[in-house]
Amino acid sequence: MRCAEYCEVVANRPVATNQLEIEIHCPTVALHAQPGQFVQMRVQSGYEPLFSRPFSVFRRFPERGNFSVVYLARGTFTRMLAAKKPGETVFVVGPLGNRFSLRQPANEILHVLVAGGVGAPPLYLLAEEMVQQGIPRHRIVVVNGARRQDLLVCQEHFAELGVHLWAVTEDGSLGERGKVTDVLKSLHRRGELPHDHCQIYACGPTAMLEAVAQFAHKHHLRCQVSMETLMPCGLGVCLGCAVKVRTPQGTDYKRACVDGPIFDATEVVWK
Amino acid sequence: MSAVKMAVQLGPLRLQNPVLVASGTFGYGSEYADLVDLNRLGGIMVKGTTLHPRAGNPMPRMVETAAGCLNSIGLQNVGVEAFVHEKLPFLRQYRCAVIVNIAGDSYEEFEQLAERLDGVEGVHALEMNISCPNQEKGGIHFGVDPEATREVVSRVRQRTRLPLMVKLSPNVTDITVTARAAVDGGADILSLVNTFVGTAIDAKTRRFKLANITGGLSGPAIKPLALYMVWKVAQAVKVPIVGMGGIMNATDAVEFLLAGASAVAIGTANYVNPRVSIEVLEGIEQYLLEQGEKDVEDIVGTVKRCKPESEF
Repeated sequence: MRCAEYCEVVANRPVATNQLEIEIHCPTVALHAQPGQFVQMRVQSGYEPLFSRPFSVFRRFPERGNFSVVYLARGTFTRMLAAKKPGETVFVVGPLGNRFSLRQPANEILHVLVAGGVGAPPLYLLAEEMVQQGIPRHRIVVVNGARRQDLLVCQEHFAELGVHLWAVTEDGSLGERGKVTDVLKSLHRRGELPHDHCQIYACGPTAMLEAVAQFAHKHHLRCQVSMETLMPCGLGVCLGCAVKVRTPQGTDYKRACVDGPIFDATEVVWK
Repeated sequence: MSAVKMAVQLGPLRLQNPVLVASGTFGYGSEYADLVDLNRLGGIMVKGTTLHPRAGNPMPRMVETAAGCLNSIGLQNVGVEAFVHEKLPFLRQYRCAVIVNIAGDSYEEFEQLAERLDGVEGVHALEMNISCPNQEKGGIHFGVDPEATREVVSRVRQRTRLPLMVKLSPNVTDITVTARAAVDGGADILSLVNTFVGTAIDAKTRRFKLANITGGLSGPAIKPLALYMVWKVAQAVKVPIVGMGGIMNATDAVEFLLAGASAVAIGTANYVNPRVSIEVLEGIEQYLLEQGEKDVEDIVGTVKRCKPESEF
Protein backbone atom coordinates (compact mmCIF):
# COMPACT_ATOMS: atom_id res chain seq x y z
CA MET A 1 0.00 0.00 0.00
CA ARG A 2 1.47 3.33 -1.01
CA CYS A 3 0.27 6.80 -1.86
CA ALA A 4 1.13 9.83 -3.97
CA GLU A 5 -0.54 12.85 -2.46
CA TYR A 6 -0.19 16.26 -0.90
CA CYS A 7 0.24 15.93 2.85
CA GLU A 8 0.13 18.44 5.65
CA VAL A 9 3.24 19.32 7.62
CA VAL A 10 2.55 18.84 11.32
CA ALA A 11 5.91 19.95 12.73
CA ASN A 12 9.37 20.81 11.47
CA ARG A 13 11.77 21.00 14.41
CA PRO A 14 15.57 21.20 14.76
CA VAL A 15 17.21 18.08 16.18
CA ALA A 16 20.92 18.84 15.67
CA THR A 17 23.08 21.39 13.89
CA ASN A 18 21.39 22.10 10.55
CA GLN A 19 19.28 18.99 11.05
CA LEU A 20 15.54 18.94 11.36
CA GLU A 21 12.82 16.37 11.90
CA ILE A 22 9.74 17.02 9.80
CA GLU A 23 6.52 15.33 10.87
CA ILE A 24 3.94 14.84 8.16
CA HIS A 25 0.34 13.73 8.25
CA CYS A 26 0.13 10.79 5.86
CA PRO A 27 -1.81 7.79 7.16
CA THR A 28 -0.62 5.47 4.39
CA VAL A 29 3.04 5.94 5.21
CA ALA A 30 2.33 6.03 8.94
CA LEU A 31 0.61 2.66 8.75
CA HIS A 32 2.74 0.84 6.21
CA ALA A 33 6.33 2.11 6.28
CA GLN A 34 8.86 -0.51 7.30
CA PRO A 35 12.40 0.00 8.63
CA GLY A 36 14.67 0.97 5.74
CA GLN A 37 11.87 2.14 3.47
CA PHE A 38 11.73 5.71 2.21
CA VAL A 39 9.41 8.34 0.81
CA GLN A 40 9.92 10.68 -2.13
CA MET A 41 9.13 14.25 -1.21
CA ARG A 42 8.56 17.30 -3.34
CA VAL A 43 8.35 20.72 -1.76
CA GLN A 44 8.78 23.03 -4.73
CA SER A 45 6.13 24.26 -7.10
CA GLY A 46 8.50 25.23 -9.91
CA TYR A 47 11.13 23.24 -11.74
CA GLU A 48 14.22 24.16 -9.76
CA PRO A 49 15.10 21.68 -8.45
CA LEU A 50 13.03 19.40 -10.63
CA PHE A 51 12.95 16.04 -8.92
CA SER A 52 11.63 14.84 -5.61
CA ARG A 53 14.15 13.64 -3.04
CA PRO A 54 14.21 10.37 -1.11
CA PHE A 55 14.13 10.38 2.69
CA SER A 56 14.19 7.35 4.97
CA VAL A 57 11.32 7.06 7.37
CA PHE A 58 12.46 7.83 10.91
CA ARG A 59 9.39 7.51 13.12
CA ARG A 60 5.82 6.37 12.64
CA PHE A 61 2.83 7.52 14.64
CA PRO A 62 0.06 5.30 13.25
CA GLU A 63 -2.44 6.39 15.88
CA ARG A 64 -2.40 9.96 14.56
CA GLY A 65 -1.52 9.09 10.97
CA ASN A 66 1.85 10.82 10.99
CA PHE A 67 5.40 9.90 10.11
CA SER A 68 8.66 11.79 10.26
CA VAL A 69 12.01 12.00 8.56
CA VAL A 70 15.25 13.62 9.68
CA TYR A 71 17.23 15.64 7.16
CA LEU A 72 20.29 17.82 6.92
CA ALA A 73 19.46 21.30 5.61
CA ARG A 74 22.44 21.92 3.37
CA GLY A 75 21.25 22.13 -0.26
CA THR A 76 18.61 23.97 -2.24
CA PHE A 77 15.98 21.30 -1.73
CA THR A 78 16.53 20.66 1.95
CA ARG A 79 16.61 24.38 2.74
CA MET A 80 13.21 24.65 1.06
CA LEU A 81 12.06 21.73 3.16
CA ALA A 82 13.39 23.46 6.28
CA ALA A 83 11.27 26.49 5.44
CA LYS A 84 8.05 24.47 5.47
CA LYS A 85 5.76 25.43 8.33
CA PRO A 86 3.00 23.46 10.07
CA GLY A 87 -0.15 23.61 7.98
CA GLU A 88 1.71 23.83 4.69
CA THR A 89 1.88 20.81 2.40
CA VAL A 90 4.50 18.62 0.77
CA PHE A 91 3.94 16.04 -1.97
CA VAL A 92 4.68 12.56 -0.69
CA VAL A 93 5.06 9.30 -2.60
CA GLY A 94 5.56 6.25 -0.46
CA PRO A 95 6.41 4.12 1.31
CA LEU A 96 8.94 2.91 -1.25
CA GLY A 97 11.70 0.35 -1.52
CA ASN A 98 12.44 -2.77 0.44
CA ARG A 99 13.18 -3.05 4.15
CA PHE A 100 15.95 -4.29 6.39
CA SER A 101 15.40 -8.00 6.71
CA LEU A 102 15.32 -9.15 10.32
CA ARG A 103 17.58 -12.15 10.57
CA GLN A 104 16.03 -15.13 12.34
CA PRO A 105 15.86 -16.47 14.98
CA ALA A 106 15.77 -12.82 15.95
CA ASN A 107 15.91 -13.40 19.69
CA GLU A 108 19.15 -15.35 19.43
CA ILE A 109 21.02 -13.07 17.05
CA LEU A 110 23.20 -10.13 17.96
CA HIS A 111 21.85 -7.27 15.88
CA VAL A 112 24.48 -4.60 15.17
CA LEU A 113 23.06 -1.37 13.78
CA VAL A 114 25.76 0.87 12.30
CA ALA A 115 24.71 4.45 11.56
CA GLY A 116 26.59 7.33 9.99
CA GLY A 117 25.20 10.87 10.27
CA VAL A 118 21.73 11.14 8.77
CA GLY A 119 21.89 7.39 8.11
CA ALA A 120 20.67 6.89 11.67
CA PRO A 121 16.89 7.48 11.24
CA PRO A 122 15.95 4.25 9.43
CA LEU A 123 18.05 2.30 11.90
CA TYR A 124 16.16 3.90 14.74
CA LEU A 125 12.91 2.60 13.22
CA LEU A 126 14.53 -0.83 12.96
CA ALA A 127 15.72 -0.74 16.58
CA GLU A 128 12.29 0.37 17.72
CA GLU A 129 10.69 -2.52 15.84
CA MET A 130 13.16 -4.95 17.40
CA VAL A 131 12.31 -3.73 20.89
CA GLN A 132 8.59 -3.91 20.14
CA GLN A 133 9.04 -7.48 18.94
CA GLY A 134 10.61 -8.38 22.25
CA ILE A 135 14.17 -8.89 21.10
CA PRO A 136 16.30 -8.57 24.27
CA ARG A 137 17.83 -5.11 24.43
CA HIS A 138 21.29 -6.49 25.13
CA ARG A 139 21.13 -8.18 21.74
CA ILE A 140 20.66 -4.83 19.98
CA VAL A 141 23.92 -2.92 19.55
CA VAL A 142 23.84 0.52 17.95
CA VAL A 143 27.07 2.13 16.73
CA ASN A 144 26.10 5.70 15.97
CA GLY A 145 28.77 7.79 14.27
CA ALA A 146 29.30 11.29 12.92
CA ARG A 147 32.13 13.70 12.30
CA ARG A 148 31.27 15.82 15.36
CA GLN A 149 28.97 15.61 18.34
CA ASP A 150 26.61 18.22 16.93
CA LEU A 151 26.14 16.14 13.78
CA LEU A 152 25.16 13.00 15.65
CA VAL A 153 21.55 12.10 14.91
CA CYS A 154 18.96 10.19 16.95
CA GLN A 155 21.36 9.59 19.85
CA GLU A 156 18.78 10.37 22.50
CA HIS A 157 16.14 8.33 20.72
CA PHE A 158 18.37 5.27 20.65
CA ALA A 159 19.19 5.89 24.31
CA GLU A 160 15.51 5.96 25.21
CA LEU A 161 15.09 2.51 23.68
CA GLY A 162 17.59 1.17 26.19
CA VAL A 163 19.68 -0.63 23.60
CA HIS A 164 23.43 -1.12 23.83
CA LEU A 165 24.56 2.21 22.40
CA TRP A 166 27.94 3.44 21.21
CA ALA A 167 28.56 6.99 20.08
CA VAL A 168 31.59 7.60 17.92
CA THR A 169 32.83 10.91 16.55
CA GLU A 170 35.81 11.59 14.33
CA ASP A 171 36.94 14.51 16.49
CA GLY A 172 36.24 12.74 19.78
CA SER A 173 33.72 15.36 20.88
CA LEU A 174 31.38 12.61 22.07
CA GLY A 175 31.91 8.93 22.77
CA GLU A 176 34.73 7.08 21.08
CA ARG A 177 37.14 9.00 18.86
CA GLY A 178 37.35 7.57 15.36
CA LYS A 179 35.01 5.90 12.92
CA VAL A 180 32.24 3.38 13.25
CA THR A 181 34.54 0.67 11.93
CA ASP A 182 36.93 1.34 14.84
CA VAL A 183 34.16 0.40 17.24
CA LEU A 184 33.34 -2.68 15.18
CA LYS A 185 37.00 -3.71 15.25
CA SER A 186 37.11 -3.20 18.99
CA LEU A 187 33.97 -5.30 19.50
CA HIS A 188 35.39 -7.99 17.27
CA ARG A 189 38.70 -8.07 19.13
CA ARG A 190 36.80 -8.65 22.34
CA GLY A 191 34.92 -11.54 20.77
CA GLU A 192 31.59 -9.73 20.93
CA LEU A 193 30.67 -10.23 17.27
CA PRO A 194 30.12 -13.99 16.87
CA HIS A 195 30.15 -14.52 13.09
CA ASP A 196 27.50 -17.22 13.13
CA HIS A 197 25.11 -15.31 15.39
CA CYS A 198 25.52 -11.74 14.26
CA GLN A 199 23.84 -9.46 11.71
CA ILE A 200 25.05 -6.00 10.79
CA TYR A 201 22.62 -3.40 9.42
CA ALA A 202 24.31 -0.26 8.07
CA CYS A 203 23.10 3.09 6.78
CA GLY A 204 25.23 6.14 6.09
CA PRO A 205 27.62 7.62 3.53
CA THR A 206 28.76 5.25 0.78
CA ALA A 207 32.39 5.32 1.95
CA MET A 208 31.25 4.24 5.42
CA LEU A 209 29.08 1.50 3.98
CA GLU A 210 31.97 0.20 1.93
CA ALA A 211 34.24 0.18 4.99
CA VAL A 212 31.62 -1.65 7.04
CA ALA A 213 31.05 -4.12 4.21
CA GLN A 214 34.79 -4.80 3.98
CA PHE A 215 34.96 -5.35 7.73
CA ALA A 216 32.01 -7.72 7.59
CA HIS A 217 33.47 -9.63 4.67
CA LYS A 218 36.85 -9.97 6.37
CA HIS A 219 35.30 -11.40 9.50
CA HIS A 220 32.56 -13.44 7.81
CA LEU A 221 29.77 -11.38 9.30
CA ARG A 222 26.43 -10.97 7.61
CA CYS A 223 25.76 -7.38 6.62
CA GLN A 224 22.92 -5.44 5.01
CA VAL A 225 23.55 -1.95 3.70
CA SER A 226 21.18 0.86 2.74
CA MET A 227 22.45 2.36 -0.52
CA GLU A 228 22.12 6.09 -1.07
CA THR A 229 21.79 7.29 -4.67
CA LEU A 230 19.91 9.94 -6.61
CA MET A 231 16.44 8.50 -7.15
CA PRO A 232 14.59 10.59 -9.73
CA CYS A 233 11.43 8.47 -9.80
CA GLY A 234 11.64 6.14 -6.79
CA LEU A 235 9.38 3.67 -8.61
CA GLY A 236 11.88 1.55 -10.53
CA VAL A 237 11.26 3.21 -13.85
CA CYS A 238 13.94 5.76 -14.65
CA LEU A 239 16.84 3.38 -13.91
CA GLY A 240 18.91 6.33 -12.75
CA CYS A 241 19.58 4.87 -9.31
CA ALA A 242 21.25 1.69 -10.49
CA VAL A 243 23.59 -0.15 -8.15
CA LYS A 244 26.20 -2.48 -9.61
CA VAL A 245 25.83 -5.97 -8.20
CA ARG A 246 27.50 -9.35 -8.55
CA THR A 247 25.67 -12.12 -10.34
CA PRO A 248 26.64 -15.71 -11.14
CA GLN A 249 27.33 -14.52 -14.69
CA GLY A 250 29.42 -11.50 -13.68
CA THR A 251 27.85 -8.14 -12.83
CA ASP A 252 24.54 -6.47 -13.43
CA TYR A 253 22.63 -3.39 -12.30
CA LYS A 254 19.84 -3.35 -9.79
CA ARG A 255 17.60 -0.44 -8.94
CA ALA A 256 18.23 1.10 -5.53
CA CYS A 257 14.64 2.32 -5.32
CA VAL A 258 12.80 -0.98 -5.76
CA ASP A 259 15.40 -3.76 -5.56
CA GLY A 260 16.87 -1.78 -2.63
CA PRO A 261 17.68 0.49 -0.96
CA ILE A 262 18.68 -2.42 1.30
CA PHE A 263 21.19 -4.81 -0.25
CA ASP A 264 23.23 -7.66 1.09
CA ALA A 265 26.72 -6.15 1.38
CA THR A 266 28.33 -9.07 -0.45
CA GLU A 267 26.13 -8.40 -3.45
CA VAL A 268 27.30 -4.83 -4.04
CA VAL A 269 30.22 -4.05 -6.35
CA TRP A 270 31.81 -1.13 -4.51
CA LYS A 271 34.48 -0.01 -6.98
CA MET B 1 -18.72 9.81 -19.76
CA SER B 2 -16.81 12.86 -20.85
CA ALA B 3 -18.73 15.84 -22.20
CA VAL B 4 -16.13 16.19 -24.94
CA LYS B 5 -14.90 13.63 -27.41
CA MET B 6 -11.41 12.62 -26.42
CA ALA B 7 -10.71 9.68 -28.74
CA VAL B 8 -8.12 10.34 -31.41
CA GLN B 9 -7.21 8.55 -34.60
CA LEU B 10 -3.50 8.34 -35.35
CA GLY B 11 -3.49 6.87 -38.83
CA PRO B 12 -4.35 3.20 -38.24
CA LEU B 13 -4.05 3.53 -34.46
CA ARG B 14 -7.12 4.46 -32.43
CA LEU B 15 -6.56 5.87 -28.93
CA GLN B 16 -9.32 6.41 -26.39
CA ASN B 17 -7.70 9.74 -25.58
CA PRO B 18 -4.60 11.64 -26.64
CA VAL B 19 -2.54 11.18 -23.47
CA LEU B 20 0.29 8.68 -23.65
CA VAL B 21 3.19 8.02 -21.34
CA ALA B 22 6.58 8.16 -23.01
CA SER B 23 8.92 5.26 -23.38
CA GLY B 24 11.46 4.89 -20.62
CA THR B 25 9.48 6.94 -18.15
CA PHE B 26 6.73 4.48 -17.24
CA GLY B 27 8.50 1.13 -17.25
CA TYR B 28 6.10 -1.63 -18.22
CA GLY B 29 3.09 -0.05 -16.54
CA SER B 30 3.09 -2.31 -13.52
CA GLU B 31 5.40 0.06 -11.65
CA TYR B 32 2.66 2.71 -11.62
CA ALA B 33 -0.44 0.53 -11.53
CA ASP B 34 -1.31 1.15 -7.88
CA LEU B 35 -0.96 4.91 -8.29
CA VAL B 36 -2.40 5.47 -11.78
CA ASP B 37 -5.54 3.95 -13.32
CA LEU B 38 -3.92 2.56 -16.46
CA ASN B 39 -7.36 2.08 -18.04
CA ARG B 40 -7.67 5.83 -18.30
CA LEU B 41 -4.52 6.39 -20.33
CA GLY B 42 -4.60 6.70 -24.08
CA GLY B 43 -1.61 4.43 -24.24
CA ILE B 44 1.62 3.27 -22.72
CA MET B 45 4.83 3.46 -24.72
CA VAL B 46 6.81 0.79 -22.97
CA LYS B 47 10.47 0.86 -22.08
CA GLY B 48 12.83 0.71 -25.06
CA THR B 49 13.10 -2.95 -26.01
CA THR B 50 16.04 -4.60 -27.69
CA LEU B 51 16.53 -8.03 -29.20
CA HIS B 52 18.57 -9.18 -26.22
CA PRO B 53 18.57 -7.98 -22.60
CA ARG B 54 20.86 -5.05 -21.85
CA ALA B 55 22.54 -4.06 -18.60
CA GLY B 56 22.83 -0.39 -19.53
CA ASN B 57 25.58 2.15 -19.03
CA PRO B 58 27.86 2.63 -15.99
CA MET B 59 26.89 4.87 -13.08
CA PRO B 60 26.36 7.74 -12.64
CA ARG B 61 23.87 7.70 -15.44
CA MET B 62 21.44 10.43 -14.50
CA VAL B 63 21.99 14.00 -13.37
CA GLU B 64 19.58 16.79 -12.62
CA THR B 65 20.09 20.01 -14.56
CA ALA B 66 18.35 23.38 -14.66
CA ALA B 67 14.66 22.49 -15.12
CA GLY B 68 15.57 19.14 -16.59
CA CYS B 69 17.73 16.08 -16.41
CA LEU B 70 20.38 14.33 -18.42
CA ASN B 71 20.26 10.58 -18.66
CA SER B 72 22.58 8.01 -20.13
CA ILE B 73 20.75 4.86 -19.08
CA GLY B 74 21.85 2.99 -22.17
CA LEU B 75 18.61 1.14 -22.88
CA GLN B 76 18.75 -1.16 -19.87
CA ASN B 77 15.89 -3.57 -20.54
CA VAL B 78 14.81 -7.18 -20.29
CA GLY B 79 14.90 -7.95 -24.03
CA VAL B 80 12.01 -8.71 -26.36
CA GLU B 81 11.39 -12.31 -25.29
CA ALA B 82 11.12 -11.43 -21.60
CA PHE B 83 8.93 -8.50 -22.56
CA VAL B 84 6.49 -10.72 -24.43
CA HIS B 85 6.42 -13.47 -21.82
CA GLU B 86 6.82 -11.57 -18.54
CA LYS B 87 5.64 -7.99 -19.08
CA LEU B 88 2.97 -8.09 -21.75
CA PRO B 89 0.50 -10.38 -19.91
CA PHE B 90 0.13 -7.71 -17.26
CA LEU B 91 -0.49 -4.97 -19.82
CA ARG B 92 -3.13 -7.04 -21.63
CA GLN B 93 -5.44 -6.58 -18.65
CA TYR B 94 -5.90 -2.91 -19.51
CA ARG B 95 -7.77 -1.21 -22.28
CA CYS B 96 -5.16 1.43 -23.05
CA ALA B 97 -3.03 0.96 -26.14
CA VAL B 98 0.38 -0.68 -25.76
CA ILE B 99 3.02 0.78 -28.02
CA VAL B 100 6.31 -1.07 -27.92
CA ASN B 101 9.39 1.08 -28.35
CA ILE B 102 11.95 -0.99 -30.26
CA ALA B 103 15.65 -0.22 -30.58
CA GLY B 104 18.22 -2.01 -32.69
CA ASP B 105 21.92 -1.71 -33.36
CA SER B 106 21.49 -2.71 -36.99
CA TYR B 107 18.91 -2.92 -39.73
CA GLU B 108 18.64 -6.63 -39.07
CA GLU B 109 17.93 -6.16 -35.38
CA PHE B 110 15.13 -3.71 -36.13
CA GLU B 111 13.70 -6.17 -38.63
CA GLN B 112 13.84 -9.07 -36.19
CA LEU B 113 12.19 -7.02 -33.45
CA ALA B 114 9.37 -5.96 -35.76
CA GLU B 115 8.86 -9.50 -36.95
CA ARG B 116 8.85 -10.89 -33.42
CA LEU B 117 6.19 -8.46 -32.24
CA ASP B 118 4.00 -8.59 -35.31
CA GLY B 119 0.67 -10.20 -34.47
CA VAL B 120 1.45 -10.57 -30.77
CA GLU B 121 -1.75 -10.13 -28.80
CA GLY B 122 -1.75 -6.96 -26.74
CA VAL B 123 0.74 -5.06 -28.89
CA HIS B 124 -1.11 -2.23 -30.62
CA ALA B 125 1.72 -0.40 -32.34
CA LEU B 126 5.49 -0.12 -32.61
CA GLU B 127 7.53 2.97 -31.95
CA MET B 128 10.89 2.80 -33.65
CA ASN B 129 13.58 4.31 -31.50
CA ILE B 130 16.02 5.53 -34.11
CA SER B 131 17.05 8.44 -31.95
CA CYS B 132 18.46 7.19 -28.65
CA PRO B 133 21.50 9.34 -27.94
CA ASN B 134 23.05 6.88 -25.50
CA GLN B 135 23.98 4.04 -27.81
CA GLU B 136 27.41 3.68 -29.37
CA LYS B 137 26.10 1.65 -32.27
CA GLY B 138 22.87 2.12 -34.15
CA GLY B 139 20.58 4.30 -32.06
CA ILE B 140 21.01 7.88 -33.07
CA HIS B 141 22.82 7.04 -36.29
CA PHE B 142 19.57 5.97 -37.87
CA GLY B 143 17.85 9.10 -36.65
CA VAL B 144 20.27 11.75 -37.91
CA ASP B 145 20.94 10.38 -41.39
CA PRO B 146 17.86 10.78 -43.60
CA GLU B 147 18.87 7.97 -45.93
CA ALA B 148 19.41 5.60 -43.00
CA THR B 149 16.09 6.70 -41.54
CA ARG B 150 14.25 5.93 -44.77
CA GLU B 151 16.03 2.59 -45.13
CA VAL B 152 15.45 1.31 -41.60
CA VAL B 153 11.81 2.40 -41.54
CA SER B 154 11.24 0.84 -44.94
CA ARG B 155 12.73 -2.47 -43.85
CA VAL B 156 10.64 -2.57 -40.67
CA ARG B 157 7.53 -1.58 -42.62
CA GLN B 158 7.92 -4.74 -44.65
CA ARG B 159 8.10 -6.91 -41.55
CA THR B 160 5.04 -5.76 -39.64
CA ARG B 161 1.38 -4.97 -40.12
CA LEU B 162 1.28 -3.05 -36.85
CA PRO B 163 0.83 0.71 -36.90
CA LEU B 164 4.35 2.08 -37.20
CA MET B 165 5.45 5.11 -35.27
CA VAL B 166 8.94 6.55 -35.71
CA LYS B 167 10.52 8.57 -32.91
CA LEU B 168 12.58 11.40 -34.28
CA SER B 169 15.81 12.81 -32.95
CA PRO B 170 16.01 16.55 -32.31
CA ASN B 171 19.79 16.39 -32.75
CA VAL B 172 19.67 17.40 -36.40
CA THR B 173 19.90 20.64 -38.32
CA ASP B 174 16.43 20.34 -39.82
CA ILE B 175 14.06 17.81 -38.29
CA THR B 176 11.66 18.07 -41.19
CA VAL B 177 14.22 16.29 -43.37
CA THR B 178 14.29 13.16 -41.20
CA ALA B 179 10.54 13.46 -40.69
CA ARG B 180 9.97 13.26 -44.45
CA ALA B 181 12.45 10.42 -44.72
CA ALA B 182 10.57 8.43 -42.06
CA VAL B 183 7.26 9.04 -43.83
CA ASP B 184 8.80 8.06 -47.16
CA GLY B 185 9.98 4.86 -45.50
CA GLY B 186 6.44 4.01 -44.44
CA ALA B 187 5.89 5.57 -41.02
CA ASP B 188 2.21 5.86 -40.11
CA ILE B 189 2.87 8.20 -37.20
CA LEU B 190 5.78 10.33 -36.02
CA SER B 191 6.66 10.88 -32.38
CA LEU B 192 8.91 13.76 -31.43
CA VAL B 193 11.10 14.70 -29.86
CA ASN B 194 13.55 12.36 -28.23
CA THR B 195 16.11 13.86 -25.86
CA PHE B 196 18.71 16.46 -26.79
CA VAL B 197 22.35 15.47 -26.44
CA GLY B 198 24.02 17.36 -23.64
CA THR B 199 26.55 17.08 -20.87
CA ALA B 200 27.17 18.34 -17.35
CA ILE B 201 30.41 19.16 -15.57
CA ASP B 202 31.20 19.43 -11.87
CA ALA B 203 33.36 22.54 -11.60
CA LYS B 204 34.68 21.59 -8.16
CA THR B 205 35.98 18.19 -9.16
CA ARG B 206 36.58 19.17 -12.82
CA ARG B 207 34.89 15.95 -13.86
CA PHE B 208 31.99 15.13 -16.13
CA LYS B 209 28.96 14.27 -14.06
CA LEU B 210 27.91 11.32 -16.22
CA ALA B 211 30.07 8.25 -16.57
CA ASN B 212 29.16 8.23 -20.24
CA ILE B 213 30.09 11.96 -20.53
CA THR B 214 27.02 12.75 -22.63
CA GLY B 215 23.37 12.09 -22.00
CA GLY B 216 19.94 12.97 -23.27
CA LEU B 217 18.36 16.16 -21.91
CA SER B 218 14.66 16.04 -21.05
CA GLY B 219 12.22 17.91 -18.86
CA PRO B 220 10.69 21.39 -18.98
CA ALA B 221 14.00 22.88 -20.15
CA ILE B 222 13.44 21.42 -23.63
CA LYS B 223 9.77 22.27 -24.06
CA PRO B 224 10.12 25.34 -26.30
CA LEU B 225 12.52 23.46 -28.55
CA ALA B 226 10.26 20.42 -28.77
CA LEU B 227 7.19 22.54 -29.35
CA TYR B 228 8.90 24.32 -32.22
CA MET B 229 9.92 21.03 -33.81
CA VAL B 230 6.43 19.60 -33.54
CA TRP B 231 5.04 22.70 -35.22
CA LYS B 232 7.67 22.55 -37.97
CA VAL B 233 7.08 18.86 -38.68
CA ALA B 234 3.32 19.32 -38.64
CA GLN B 235 3.74 21.76 -41.54
CA ALA B 236 5.99 19.37 -43.41
CA VAL B 237 4.21 16.01 -43.32
CA LYS B 238 0.68 14.66 -43.47
CA VAL B 239 0.97 11.85 -40.92
CA PRO B 240 -0.21 12.36 -37.35
CA ILE B 241 2.26 13.41 -34.69
CA VAL B 242 2.71 12.45 -31.05
CA GLY B 243 4.29 15.46 -29.38
CA MET B 244 6.57 15.22 -26.38
CA GLY B 245 9.34 17.07 -24.66
CA GLY B 246 9.01 18.71 -21.29
CA ILE B 247 5.25 18.39 -20.86
CA MET B 248 4.64 18.94 -17.16
CA ASN B 249 0.94 19.81 -17.07
CA ALA B 250 -2.23 20.08 -19.12
CA THR B 251 -1.40 23.53 -20.45
CA ASP B 252 1.88 22.25 -21.85
CA ALA B 253 0.01 19.35 -23.45
CA VAL B 254 -2.57 21.65 -25.01
CA GLU B 255 0.22 23.76 -26.50
CA PHE B 256 1.55 20.67 -28.29
CA LEU B 257 -1.92 19.87 -29.63
CA LEU B 258 -2.31 23.43 -30.87
CA ALA B 259 1.11 23.19 -32.51
CA GLY B 260 -0.05 20.22 -34.53
CA ALA B 261 0.34 17.09 -32.41
CA SER B 262 -2.64 14.75 -32.44
CA ALA B 263 -1.57 13.20 -29.15
CA VAL B 264 1.00 13.89 -26.48
CA ALA B 265 3.33 11.79 -24.39
CA ILE B 266 4.32 12.57 -20.84
CA GLY B 267 7.91 11.74 -20.00
CA THR B 268 10.09 13.17 -17.28
CA ALA B 269 7.06 14.57 -15.46
CA ASN B 270 6.12 11.01 -14.48
CA TYR B 271 9.15 10.99 -12.21
CA VAL B 272 8.11 14.22 -10.55
CA ASN B 273 4.47 13.31 -10.05
CA PRO B 274 3.38 9.72 -10.74
CA ARG B 275 -0.20 10.86 -11.31
CA VAL B 276 0.61 13.63 -13.78
CA SER B 277 -0.68 11.75 -16.84
CA ILE B 278 -4.18 11.58 -15.38
CA GLU B 279 -3.99 15.22 -14.30
CA VAL B 280 -3.00 16.15 -17.86
CA LEU B 281 -5.91 14.15 -19.29
CA GLU B 282 -8.39 15.82 -16.97
CA GLY B 283 -6.81 19.20 -17.64
CA ILE B 284 -7.17 18.84 -21.40
CA GLU B 285 -10.85 17.95 -20.99
CA GLN B 286 -11.31 20.97 -18.76
CA TYR B 287 -9.58 23.20 -21.31
CA LEU B 288 -11.83 21.95 -24.10
CA LEU B 289 -14.92 22.64 -22.00
CA GLU B 290 -13.72 26.13 -21.19
CA GLN B 291 -12.97 26.79 -24.86
CA GLY B 292 -16.36 25.48 -25.94
CA GLU B 293 -14.80 22.65 -27.97
CA LYS B 294 -16.56 19.30 -28.37
CA ASP B 295 -13.76 17.22 -29.84
CA VAL B 296 -10.09 17.23 -28.98
CA GLU B 297 -9.21 16.59 -32.60
CA ASP B 298 -10.73 19.96 -33.49
CA ILE B 299 -7.96 21.88 -31.78
CA VAL B 300 -5.04 20.02 -33.37
CA GLY B 301 -2.80 22.44 -35.23
CA THR B 302 -5.02 25.46 -34.63
CA VAL B 303 -2.36 27.77 -33.26
CA LYS B 304 -2.55 31.25 -34.74
CA ARG B 305 0.02 33.95 -35.20
CA CYS B 306 0.24 36.44 -32.34
CA LYS B 307 -1.46 39.78 -32.55
CA PRO B 308 0.64 42.84 -33.30
CA GLU B 309 2.06 44.30 -30.10
CA SER B 310 -0.01 47.48 -30.41
CA GLU B 311 -3.20 45.54 -29.84
CA PHE B 312 -2.14 44.34 -26.35
